[in-house]
Amino acid sequence: MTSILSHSQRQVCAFTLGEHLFGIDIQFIQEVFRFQECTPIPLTPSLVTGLLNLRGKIVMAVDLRQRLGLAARPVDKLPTNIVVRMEEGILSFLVDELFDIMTLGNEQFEEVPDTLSESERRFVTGCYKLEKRLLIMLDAPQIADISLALRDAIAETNAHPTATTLPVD
Amino acid sequence: MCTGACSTGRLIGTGDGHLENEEFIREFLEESEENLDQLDQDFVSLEQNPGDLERLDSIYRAIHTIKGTSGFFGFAKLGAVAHSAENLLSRLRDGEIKLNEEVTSALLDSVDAIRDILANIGRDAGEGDGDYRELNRVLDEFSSSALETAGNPDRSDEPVADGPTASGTVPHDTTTLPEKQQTKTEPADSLVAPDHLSSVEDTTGDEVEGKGIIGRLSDKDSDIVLPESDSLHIAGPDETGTPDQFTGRSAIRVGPLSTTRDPVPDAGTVVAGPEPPRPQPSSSEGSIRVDVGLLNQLMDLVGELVLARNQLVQTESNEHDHRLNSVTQQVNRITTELQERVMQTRMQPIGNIWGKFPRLVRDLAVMCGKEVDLLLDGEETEVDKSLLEAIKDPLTHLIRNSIDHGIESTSERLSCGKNKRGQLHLRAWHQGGQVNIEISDNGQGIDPDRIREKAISKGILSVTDAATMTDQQLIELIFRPGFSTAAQVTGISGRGVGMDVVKTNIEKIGGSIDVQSKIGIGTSIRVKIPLTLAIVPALIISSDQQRFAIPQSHLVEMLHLNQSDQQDRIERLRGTPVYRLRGRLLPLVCLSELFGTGQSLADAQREHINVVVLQADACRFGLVVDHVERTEEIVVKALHRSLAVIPHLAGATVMGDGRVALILDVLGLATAIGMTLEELSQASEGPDLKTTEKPADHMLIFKLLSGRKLAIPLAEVDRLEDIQPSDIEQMDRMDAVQYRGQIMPLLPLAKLLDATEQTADGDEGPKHTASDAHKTIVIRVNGSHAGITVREIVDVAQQQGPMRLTNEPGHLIRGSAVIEGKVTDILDIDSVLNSFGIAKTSFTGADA
Repeated sequence: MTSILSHSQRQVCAFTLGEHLFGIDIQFIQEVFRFQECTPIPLTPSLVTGLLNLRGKIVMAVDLRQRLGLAARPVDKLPTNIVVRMEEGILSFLVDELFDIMTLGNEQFEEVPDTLSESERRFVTGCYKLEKRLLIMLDAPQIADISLALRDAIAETNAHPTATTLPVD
Repeated sequence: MCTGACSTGRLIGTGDGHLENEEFIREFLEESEENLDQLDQDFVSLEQNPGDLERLDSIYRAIHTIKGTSGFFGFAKLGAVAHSAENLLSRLRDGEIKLNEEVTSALLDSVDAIRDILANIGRDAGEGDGDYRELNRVLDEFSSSALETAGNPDRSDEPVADGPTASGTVPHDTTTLPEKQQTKTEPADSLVAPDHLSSVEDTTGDEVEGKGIIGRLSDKDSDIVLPESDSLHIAGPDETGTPDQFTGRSAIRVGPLSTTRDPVPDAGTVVAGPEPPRPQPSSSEGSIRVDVGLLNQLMDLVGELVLARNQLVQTESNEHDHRLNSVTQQVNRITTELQERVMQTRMQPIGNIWGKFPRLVRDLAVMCGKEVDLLLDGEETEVDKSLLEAIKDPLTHLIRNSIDHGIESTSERLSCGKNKRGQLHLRAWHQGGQVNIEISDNGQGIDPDRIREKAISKGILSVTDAATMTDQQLIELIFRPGFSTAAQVTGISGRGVGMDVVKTNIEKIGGSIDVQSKIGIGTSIRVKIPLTLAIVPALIISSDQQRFAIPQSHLVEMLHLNQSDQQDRIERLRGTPVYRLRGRLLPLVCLSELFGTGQSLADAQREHINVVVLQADACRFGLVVDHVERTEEIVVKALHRSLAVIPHLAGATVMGDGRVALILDVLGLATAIGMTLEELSQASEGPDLKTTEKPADHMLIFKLLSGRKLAIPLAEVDRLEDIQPSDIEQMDRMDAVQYRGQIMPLLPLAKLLDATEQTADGDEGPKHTASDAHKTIVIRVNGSHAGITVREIVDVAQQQGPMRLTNEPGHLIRGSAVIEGKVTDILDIDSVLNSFGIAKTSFTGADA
């Protein structure tokens, strides 16, 4: 990107999930690449798609549709990987398709619409009004933090009865 | 380093010249840091063994180097402290004053001061604003007190002082032997060679008679053969050749040096023989300093290379190109070697971090008013550098704990009849791809009752829970957060912010920690850590079409169970399937069931099942998998941090085809199913095994030609051989074969046993026919062999429970034990050999 951004602008990586258009601030994006077969990770909830080999680095892939509580992707549609760089490490978000990399001005930005439910709001920072569509900006760090979801899933699998400690001697 | 620099004050360390010196200063700092660590250690051992002039000399040299260099760079404060310390050391070395606790403390303070100043220099190139004048005054005071005692050397009662070169009485005559200064001793064993000795006489003019020495040497051979040469070691040529205000100090000490430590009074004279000088291995010649970051990068690259190699090997196996084949072989071999070497660059002896412990122990002991001896074993045990760093703090903490809480005060120890000096023993050793580190003390031990009280009062345990817990479980509560048992919180430890952190830190690097303690006897804490984290050999298995890697360090064996095995030997114990493996119950866990991806063992009516037997800490279990593929070197990659909640996984790796495979965490698996295992192991082992301290011996079970079933400890067996009847020749009373260039008698055991007792259970099968190869158990007898011809090797199994000994001495059967669920007689090899006239000791005499 050679264009110089003013303070009132920012660059957004826009992608689609079903009918919706979402965006993530480009500062978090490392790269985008096409579908790659994942190695599933046992005991994880289904939103964790698995592990990818990204040039020798191992990257965990998270299905954004499931993460955001949207309908599951049709089986015949292969997802696209958007690799994000977070404090806790690199992750790949599985999205439907890359839409564009756009430079958007603050004047187009609006706070979180009231129409969203509390759970939807959790991951949304606001939205940009494009000419014909609405682009929902996602809170990438919030979405990437899946440790809670994982912990819940593990707790559930551990819940089935195991023997308790017996006195020794 | 030229000492002239410090007196003339050629200060290069100021102004623009400073920049040019930055490199030198950095080098100086690095070097000094190592020296200082060594100094701590040296001082502490010197305190325990004040006669160790060699060590004193090495301390002196280190301080002297620092002093010289500080002068060169114009570090005045550093120079002053080093100078005072050096002065004091030279008095000590000349025997003018005696080393005691105060002197050692003062010298250690000076080491600390030097360390502080160096740290300051490292930070901002200045010496900092510490005031060391008081320290210098104390040091100087000790030095000047030397003058008063100078006429009355402390060491005059030592044998050295009587010798012609005794240093105590002739402090500065060292220059009399200028040439010999540069000689190093020959290896100890060469000292007995008469020609060397005579030349020694010639050159030294000493009156020691050569034969006299030989006599003595052989009398006390154990003293001599020990590599005392390092005690005889003298300053290298670089030192002695330098003009020095303490000229010739090190060289002249050769005689006295060795004699002080050597129990043989005249041995010192041997040292000065005319052997060609052996250059002291100089660190600057054979090694260079490399940035650790660079090594890490190198390691990463090798990791990538290993991956690429794996891919290449896999691709190649599909092609049938001859040239490609050989190149692949080559790349394969080179990669493996490169990997090993690069790993080696990161391996460091654990002694590198133990170096600080003698000082730590001393200071802590002084602070607590206790007397503690520190024993170090296995300092050479090598560990990956990153792991070494990671265990430094936990170990330090454990040592603090031992001294503070474990070892009693001198008076307490005396009152309960213990030696007044407590002992802290650090041991390290490699075992099964892991490094074991054990910290044991002979202190008061951990009182489970006190822990129970404490835990209840702190609300960690409910009264009912506490009542049902075993002592061991109570003791393990020390690893709970917020737990501290010290009745009194001391400045050293006891705030309860320790053991849980120690445990977490050890576990973070894939290690484990466990504690054993007996009241009044002591406490022993064992830390196990992996050798390295980067590249490990692993077994690749698959379960539900997914591949997993299992680190081989946890792998015990693999079993392939067919349907009859499954029916006969798999039972259910409290709902868990167990397999009867050589008399022990092995709990089986189905990987696909564990991961919730497939059927359980019971549902799957499979023709064969593959069981991978794994060892995690104390428990052993069988993991049922679909396929066992192969073993492979895998590059361990970390998983995303949020996956840490899944204890079953240790990481991931990229396989030869580019796909990712998960690495199973065997300890984690065991923990995940742990409760069941603990219960099972109790059920299967019973109380008998628990009481025997030694792990059950492995026994080789065999049938004699007569059909009788016997067992011998596997440890006694060297090999199993098939011997062709045509190779058998006749010896005096028995058959023999030529075996590895020696004569190996074949002991007619069946005959002997049948003659002495009529218990053979008859003819179970055909005996050897003349054409059959004879199955022979080869036993090693002091460097030679003896063979026992048997009909059949039955199995190798573990002895269950203790052996019931037969009472008759000289009986060929040592006793009986339960092996594979049957009472089996165990052969007494020594008696058998004896009855054939082969004593274990005399046998080798024949072929020597």
